[in-house]
Amino acid sequence: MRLSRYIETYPSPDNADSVILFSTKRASAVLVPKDVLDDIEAGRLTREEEDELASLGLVVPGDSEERQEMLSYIQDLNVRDRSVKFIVVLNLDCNLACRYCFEGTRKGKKYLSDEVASRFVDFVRSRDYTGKDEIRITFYGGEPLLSLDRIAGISERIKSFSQDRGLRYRFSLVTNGTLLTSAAVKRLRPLGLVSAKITLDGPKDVHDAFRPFKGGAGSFDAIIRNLGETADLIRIQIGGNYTRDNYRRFPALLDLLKEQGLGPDRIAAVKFDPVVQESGEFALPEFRDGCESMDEPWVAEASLHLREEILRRGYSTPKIMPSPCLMERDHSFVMDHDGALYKCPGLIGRAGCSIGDVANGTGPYRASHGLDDWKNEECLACAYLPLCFGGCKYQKLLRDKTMRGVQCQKAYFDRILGPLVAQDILHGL
Amino acid sequence: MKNRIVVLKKGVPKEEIGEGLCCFGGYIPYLWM
Repeated sequence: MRLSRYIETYPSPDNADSVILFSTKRASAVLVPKDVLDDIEAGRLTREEEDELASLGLVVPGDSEERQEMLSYIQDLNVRDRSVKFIVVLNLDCNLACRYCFEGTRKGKKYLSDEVASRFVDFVRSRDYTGKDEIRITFYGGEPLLSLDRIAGISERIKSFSQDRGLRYRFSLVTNGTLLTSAAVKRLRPLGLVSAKITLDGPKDVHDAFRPFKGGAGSFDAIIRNLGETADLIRIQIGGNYTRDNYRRFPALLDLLKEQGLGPDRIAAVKFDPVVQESGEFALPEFRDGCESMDEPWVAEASLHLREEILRRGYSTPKIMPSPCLMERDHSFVMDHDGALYKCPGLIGRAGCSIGDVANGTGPYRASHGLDDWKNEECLACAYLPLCFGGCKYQKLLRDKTMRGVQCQKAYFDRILGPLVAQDILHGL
Repeated sequence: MKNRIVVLKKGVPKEEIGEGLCCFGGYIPYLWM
């Protein structure tokens, strides 16, 4: 057996003679004396040690086998995938006027029509469900709850034929939370609503400055009120978007949530992300505070700090694990309000990024989206490959005006992965 | 010989890998469901 090439080695904080081995392929970690590394290469492990390390993905039969495993990794995931996933952009309208809205100048009174809704349902119905047991939709916008009747109408039809075929149907909302009332949730839950992601950008003064209603009033109080009404009805996931200047204020939001009775027992997960600067094509002209790249050192510092603040208050947050881009899923589609199909919500409305539409189906996209471009010697030899697979194509497009090639995240992972693994171990993730 | 390996994180079972998905830089919470 050989040491997997998808391992990072970190010094033990307590013992200079030991190291931590972290598998990026399996998100497992062990503490071992340094001489174990030599014993692996020399074949001197006991059978029990070898079996234990192999079960955690830390040692592998050989380099060529592991290389082949990685080359077929995405294909294997697609074979194992039991769900067909859709993200539906119901409208590009909103009742808020967020300063940094990434949809920016794409926004307007644009809504899914009856015709597009029917074609979408037909498109969903016409998929091949061999080997699948679930249809999963994320309703998105704009603000999806401005299209409440549309969500109900689509869900009624999909739920009906899902049941006929023995498939499970469930859906989620990505909503600003201002319209997520208990009445709306109680109407949608029987149709398959299981979770909602809402956005809170820090405590009230920060949030209200960044996410006001169109009329200028703050939206914070309305969202908190709705969370109180709905947190026991569906899974609530809280996101938040921070800038270099305001991220230090975000922990105060976590304290406020607890004071409001919205502790870890009622909130399913919390995760904060930096605002990414949109491209000039769609960016709101007055907003320039988004980060251009995850490589900016303050992003690593901010994300580690906020993740620690989330975890130490007992909230759940995603653990470090291989998380391939949704684009890689063969059975995953994003539909814009006009029926155009994409592989990522960040691509909607961008020239040359659509892969087809619900009336005519889809064409090939792997080459134009650069999805196999990580299959090169440099990436295959990189210990971060299972966490990266060529990086985020949306961010690649914003930075380089093309999705071809990889968005190398080595500098980012060099800076952040060790502390993230330490957080996971400390908090038992 | 005593077991020299201390497991700090069991990690994700092979069959569950891929349940985590990154969508739109993590903005869409497929990873969280």
